[in-house]
Amino acid sequence: MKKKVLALVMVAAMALGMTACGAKQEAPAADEPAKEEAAVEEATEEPAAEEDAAEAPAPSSDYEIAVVVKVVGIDYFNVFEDGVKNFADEYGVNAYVTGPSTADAAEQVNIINDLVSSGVDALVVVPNDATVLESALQAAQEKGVVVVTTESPAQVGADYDVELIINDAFAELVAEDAAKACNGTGEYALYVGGLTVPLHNAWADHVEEYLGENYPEMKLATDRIACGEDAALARETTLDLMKTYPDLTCIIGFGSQGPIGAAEALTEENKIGEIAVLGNIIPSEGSSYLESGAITSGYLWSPFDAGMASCYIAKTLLDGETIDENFKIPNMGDIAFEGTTLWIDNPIVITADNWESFGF
Amino acid sequence: MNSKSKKKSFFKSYEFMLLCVVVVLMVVLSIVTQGKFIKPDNLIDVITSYSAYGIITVGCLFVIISGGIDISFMAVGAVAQYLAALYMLNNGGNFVIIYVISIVTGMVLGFGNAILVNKLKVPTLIITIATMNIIYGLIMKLSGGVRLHGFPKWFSQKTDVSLFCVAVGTLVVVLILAGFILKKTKIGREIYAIGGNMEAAKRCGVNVLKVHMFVYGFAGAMAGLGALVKCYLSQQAATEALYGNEMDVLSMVVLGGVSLSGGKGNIFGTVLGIILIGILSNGMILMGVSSYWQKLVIGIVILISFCITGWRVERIAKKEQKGEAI
Repeated sequence: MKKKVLALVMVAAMALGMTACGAKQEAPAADEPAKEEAAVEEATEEPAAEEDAAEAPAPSSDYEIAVVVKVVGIDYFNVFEDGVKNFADEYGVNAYVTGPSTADAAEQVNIINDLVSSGVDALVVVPNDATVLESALQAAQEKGVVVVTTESPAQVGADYDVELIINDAFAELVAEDAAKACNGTGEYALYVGGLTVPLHNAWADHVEEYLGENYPEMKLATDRIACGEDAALARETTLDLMKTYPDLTCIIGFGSQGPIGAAEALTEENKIGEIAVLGNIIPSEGSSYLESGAITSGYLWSPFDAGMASCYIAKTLLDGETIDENFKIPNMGDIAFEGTTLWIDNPIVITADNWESFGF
Repeated sequence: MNSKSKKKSFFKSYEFMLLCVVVVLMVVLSIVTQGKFIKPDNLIDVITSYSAYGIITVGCLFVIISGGIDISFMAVGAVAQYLAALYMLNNGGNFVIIYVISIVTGMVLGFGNAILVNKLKVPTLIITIATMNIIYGLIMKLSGGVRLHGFPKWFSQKTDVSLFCVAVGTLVVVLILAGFILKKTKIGREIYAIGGNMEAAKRCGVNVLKVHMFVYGFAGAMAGLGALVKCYLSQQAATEALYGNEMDVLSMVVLGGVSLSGGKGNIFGTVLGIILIGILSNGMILMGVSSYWQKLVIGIVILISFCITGWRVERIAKKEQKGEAI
């Protein structure tokens, strides 16, 4: 009997442990507004009516915009949250960030469903998996919730998706700087987070293409290597590459850990300056390598701007305004339209001089 | 006479065949890479890079010999690594302190596993899946997933000597210690005993709780230590970098010839398992194998090696049986 009780307690603890991460995250953020919204929800059963209500002279501070990020707590999404908070202050809306504690799409679905039933006006989502989220987002749309996504071009179930970089332009920027850093000669290696990560591989494809056309003396040493998300693996790979390809002059890393690991290997082998390292880095993580010169420069988009831009689009839609060619987001670059995807050319170049200014 | 028969049995053992496989692989790799593989600095690089997982593998070996299986070790390592890194960032400290922190943290979490394994008669796989999620969930929540970096100079400035000592040195000490425990101590024999037949061991007066505490505590300590070495190599405490690599470690143990049902396995085999996985992945890059092919090639090499090994071991066993019959 005693054992049975113990077993029961344990099972309960396990179940809690597994679910607590996701559930706890959203609770504090979603609870309070939920109560206010419940009243609105009851009064207006028709989704259309709810939209009308939103368009009515009610002050815009009544808007509740819930932002569901890939995973809460990491630096990147903390800065993303800063952008959202900044937007909330500037435009007087109730915008807040929530999300799972591990980058899990199924967990995002649960959170989205909860938010929709609690009656949010708009959802901004950074999907962990575009297809897994489709039906949850569509269900939200059917209930009249405005849905905006980012980092997921042409997302099904979203009114609009916004991207803070234009992929080809971004890859060209990195490739051009890489070629300059190694004088357009020698062999280069490409790191990606995984051989199936769409974004990284799209960039890598374009880098190969661009360098092949414009810098024929630069040769790809070996096929792209999947070590961009593990610094220790990238370090080991870089050590092996240096031994195998003596003409290696440049490493381009997509995935935030590739350049870090490569730079660590160069530091160990005293080869800083002989091999240029460029690619995605989190500014604060790459700072010491930028300053030592082990990383030439880092490339990313600003999560702060991503938070601002996606909320701005959500608010525009809630205001009942249409998004067309004349649509502009304050303080951001030109927008290219592709169906419901908005591409903004807004990359950041991280160097030894400016890394501190990004705040993440 | 006795030593002679021991020698003879070694040549017929699984470990000997594995050694042959490793040697043949090394020769082939050396030829294909025109000697690049066999250069001392490359071999040192391989051992250095694989020392972190190697250390964790040793802990895992203990658990499997005892008849259990633990997959929470990476989560345990992540916690130990994170706490050690946090201490370094806030208080400085030195190698002794951070070693102690990661070992003790790992051990305490391991004790938790041991108690659950001992008190609940549930497969250890299920228990450790649960504890893995709980521990990893907690560290994700507490750390916020933030990677720690920018460690003090004594930790971040690596020299060839310090690199070798921290990585390879720790691995060697761990291997010797583990070998000693398994072969020369009472607790070592008890680990084999409960792995071979728990009920029989109990009746012989083995204190199963004590052995469980030791085994899972040791595995936790090794996970902490390995994670710390990984942190040293990559100069980063990243909770997510360890998590998800459980299979690499388990495959090193299994390739080393342990029986997943417990009661069998030794340090020498595990060392070979570590070396095999290490040289395979190193060799792929040195040979210039495209990354699209690497998994396939590694899989085939492992499969072929073990078909040969298994076949030979079986044939010897059969021969011996016949010999005895005559």
